[in-house]
Amino acid sequence: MQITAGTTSHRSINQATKTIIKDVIDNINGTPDFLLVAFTPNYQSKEDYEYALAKICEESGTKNVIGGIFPGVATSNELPTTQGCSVMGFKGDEVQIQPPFDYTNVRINPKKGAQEIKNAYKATDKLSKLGFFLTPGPFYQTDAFEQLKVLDTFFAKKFKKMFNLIGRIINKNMGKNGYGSTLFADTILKTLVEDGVKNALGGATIDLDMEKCYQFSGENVFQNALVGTIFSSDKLSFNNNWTFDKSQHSRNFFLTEFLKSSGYVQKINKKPANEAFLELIDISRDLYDEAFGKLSYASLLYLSALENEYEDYVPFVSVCHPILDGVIATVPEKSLCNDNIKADFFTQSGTGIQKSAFECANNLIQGLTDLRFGIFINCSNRLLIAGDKIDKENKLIEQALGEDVPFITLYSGGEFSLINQKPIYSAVSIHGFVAGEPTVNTKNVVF
Amino acid sequence: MSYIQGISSELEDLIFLEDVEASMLFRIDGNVVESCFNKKYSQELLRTVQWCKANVEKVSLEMRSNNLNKVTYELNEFCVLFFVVNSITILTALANQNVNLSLLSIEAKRKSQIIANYL
Repeated sequence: MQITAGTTSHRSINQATKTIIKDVIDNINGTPDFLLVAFTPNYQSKEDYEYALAKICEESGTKNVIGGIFPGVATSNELPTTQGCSVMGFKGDEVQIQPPFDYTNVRINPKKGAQEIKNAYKATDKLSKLGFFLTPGPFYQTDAFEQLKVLDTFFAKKFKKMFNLIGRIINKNMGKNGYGSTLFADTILKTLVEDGVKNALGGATIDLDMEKCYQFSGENVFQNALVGTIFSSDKLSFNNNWTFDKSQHSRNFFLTEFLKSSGYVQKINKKPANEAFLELIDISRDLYDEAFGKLSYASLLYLSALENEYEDYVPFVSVCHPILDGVIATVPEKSLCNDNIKADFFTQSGTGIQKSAFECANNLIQGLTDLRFGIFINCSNRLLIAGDKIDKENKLIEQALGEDVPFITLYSGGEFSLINQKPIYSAVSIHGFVAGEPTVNTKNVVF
Repeated sequence: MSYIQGISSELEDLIFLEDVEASMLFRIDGNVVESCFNKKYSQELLRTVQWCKANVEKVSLEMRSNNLNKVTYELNEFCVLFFVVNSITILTALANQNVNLSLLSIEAKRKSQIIANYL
């Protein structure tokens, strides 16, 4: 099996495309079976990405391409870039990669998106199967927060049932307008579990300005679509796993009042959530705005986590906007089942992030030998925390997988996995999958 | 492509990043090897460039003696990022204070490695 991967950077998308074709696609003998293409968002215009994809499809001779935009992209052999692209090319019989599927209305109707994944998953009867999909990411425009102010009113606290519905309508409207959170991904995962899909890995495309995000399928560039494929093989096994930086657990708090439908937390520790959140992290409003204002007021270093039926801690991001009394939390509706929910705070650090990446990669290789390739979906928040030390994280992944194993890392706006039917929708985490030969257990028999 | 054209192209890439105003490759004695500016540059920016030119020797000495790869300063409403390229050159990026320093430093690290290959 031939797998090539490369990263290039250039101010012009045309030049970056030309270089990546030369470095990655031309290195494959003949037409690649499949390409995973990730560009950074700085090129901005949809037409630019359409031109680049058309060029890649034309030069490679295949339209089996999926991808999207991510604030940072990296491959095993190169330093990460925030101004360029990474491509991974596949050719060979060991792994069958299905032609890409896409569904363009995934924010509004995630179940239909899940159906696309399920149909492709069921279409192959190979021993090992893994669904891989990319979705639109968080996409808050300035006026999005204005719409949420209604959830602060006296009536919203008094008439919970009604305002749960209103919250859902607001979220749906956000979806229609092309922005919102990525909570729909949790619905996709839950639907996949019900439909018998065992393993999947996904990530959300994102531009850190939260103004646009694009997904690629063949030559097409979409703005609110799910794109994906299925990796399957009779010879190789696929392992997928996830983790996050749990090294600095600081304190607990309670979500005491909230609206399930919109993940809108009205009170933390029985106090207005916005004020209580700043108190918990011990930061003034001004300092918080300066630090996180450019990131749609999403807390970056301070990660909260909830326990669910599958994991001890599943992290979520809190958006603490100055015009709101509450806090928007990226918590799926089903996790907000009680009245008083305990959450834990974790402070993120560069070293902790590196260690968790190593831990994830190390878990992935268990039971596998002769690894062929790896794909990692890493949170873009982790990219911002690590800064130029982010390459150390990839070095540690390389150390775990082995020097010659090609891998690609996409820095996303939401990460999700289905690990043996266990759905994980999390934030500020790293998810990955690797393909390799299963280790044969030989027993010593003594006669 | 000559090595100086290659370096110039890499420096130009940096000023296409959001909020980056200028990028320069300094020799540690303060001489400019190559530089690239945004089309609309201000007097204030030029004053900051002068400060960089005057102080790069001192900064590089400090970086070398303390084994630092990267140093960031905030002055005159600008953010100045020094990144070691090799023992005699330093990559410098000037950006306005709204710049996302994490993203800039990732790209500056990549550029410094590419530039080191040219030298």
